[in-house]
Amino acid sequence: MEYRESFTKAMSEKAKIYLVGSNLEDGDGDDASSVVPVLYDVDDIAKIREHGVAGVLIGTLGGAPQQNVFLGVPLRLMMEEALWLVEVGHAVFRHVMGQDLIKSLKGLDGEKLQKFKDDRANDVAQQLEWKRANFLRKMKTLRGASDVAVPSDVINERDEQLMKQSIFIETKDTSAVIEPSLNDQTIDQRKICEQILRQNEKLRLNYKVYKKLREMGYFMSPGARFGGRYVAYPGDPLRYHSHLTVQDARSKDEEIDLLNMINGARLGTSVKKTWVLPGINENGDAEFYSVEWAGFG
Amino acid sequence: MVSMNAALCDVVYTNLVYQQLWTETEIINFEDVPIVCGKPSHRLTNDDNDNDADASNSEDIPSDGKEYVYPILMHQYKNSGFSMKSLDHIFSRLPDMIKRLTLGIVNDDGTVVYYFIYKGLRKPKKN
Repeated sequence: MEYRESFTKAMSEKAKIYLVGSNLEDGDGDDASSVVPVLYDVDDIAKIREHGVAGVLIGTLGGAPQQNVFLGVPLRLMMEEALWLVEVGHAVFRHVMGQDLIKSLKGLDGEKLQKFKDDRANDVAQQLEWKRANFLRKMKTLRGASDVAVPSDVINERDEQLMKQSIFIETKDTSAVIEPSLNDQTIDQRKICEQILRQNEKLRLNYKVYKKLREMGYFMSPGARFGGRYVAYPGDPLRYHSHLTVQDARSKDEEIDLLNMINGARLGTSVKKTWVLPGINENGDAEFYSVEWAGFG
Repeated sequence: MVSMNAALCDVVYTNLVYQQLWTETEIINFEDVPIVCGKPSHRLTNDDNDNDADASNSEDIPSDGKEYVYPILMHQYKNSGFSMKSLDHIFSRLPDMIKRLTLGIVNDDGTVVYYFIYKGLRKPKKN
């Protein structure tokens, strides 16, 4: 019951998107372009997927940094996705800077670190204890009660070794070191959106295209694989093939590079995707032309 | 400029008639927009007359089976001067029933490639 309540509460809350990588406050030059929006909470990730934003999982295991399949949290978003979620009100930005992290480490001392260590050691010891008890009980039923007088006779070295190997070490979702107060800081959401958009002209145009497509129901993912800005799916990418490779947005006066169009449309046709040229008209709205190879010539 | 367009139309016309074996081919001027119009020797798409419930594409295609080709020159090392505004202009001159324009892109080595252009978003054609 308690779980359900906390679950509903979690679902009604806005997803938290963390902006990592740079100091936005400096407002100097192209800072915002190096900021990366990421999500760390799996509930948040589920939430934004309901709203048509899939993102890309980029988390590897600490021990396998070369890993490139079966990735986990954090989930990385395109800036357009992050801006849209915040603007529509499904998410809020949190800003994390290196300095904040260092500040939050200030209260950390040897005692605390020792406590983390002890906690883990305790956990391991408890699990081992539980496994030993289970093992003994099992042996009792197998051999009959009389035979199991001294535990050390029953559990040999090999069994002990196997038990130690099978102990679970939990990888926590949240950091025990970083203070939760970091999550409570409030920042002006609209201001941060404006700041990000102001610093990047290309993003401003692309965001209009993203927004229009998203409102038409498309899911977007990064388009580099097919030589575009976005790959657009007609629904959840796990259920549908993508239909469109959407190019960078342009003003309607901008010249079309025909060779580039031929390249893109020829590739698109062979992978069953329409090559889409988006343009921003005088009113600031996105318009589209779809191109595909005619099948001859 | 007009003579340039006429020359391009001739290249595309010749290519369509003698290489692609189109029939009933003719050059039509929709005001200032020259179009090479004709019937392909074989069906170009599989979903043109599809009456599937989800075939939102089906009504787009002219019923007489004719295709409308706009010739355009592509220099390898020069700008095309062709923008989305130009496309708007071409579509505005064409009759409303024509939803699909074919670009006949003439390369400066004499090859011609053909690409369909639709206004708005369109699902990829079935193969």
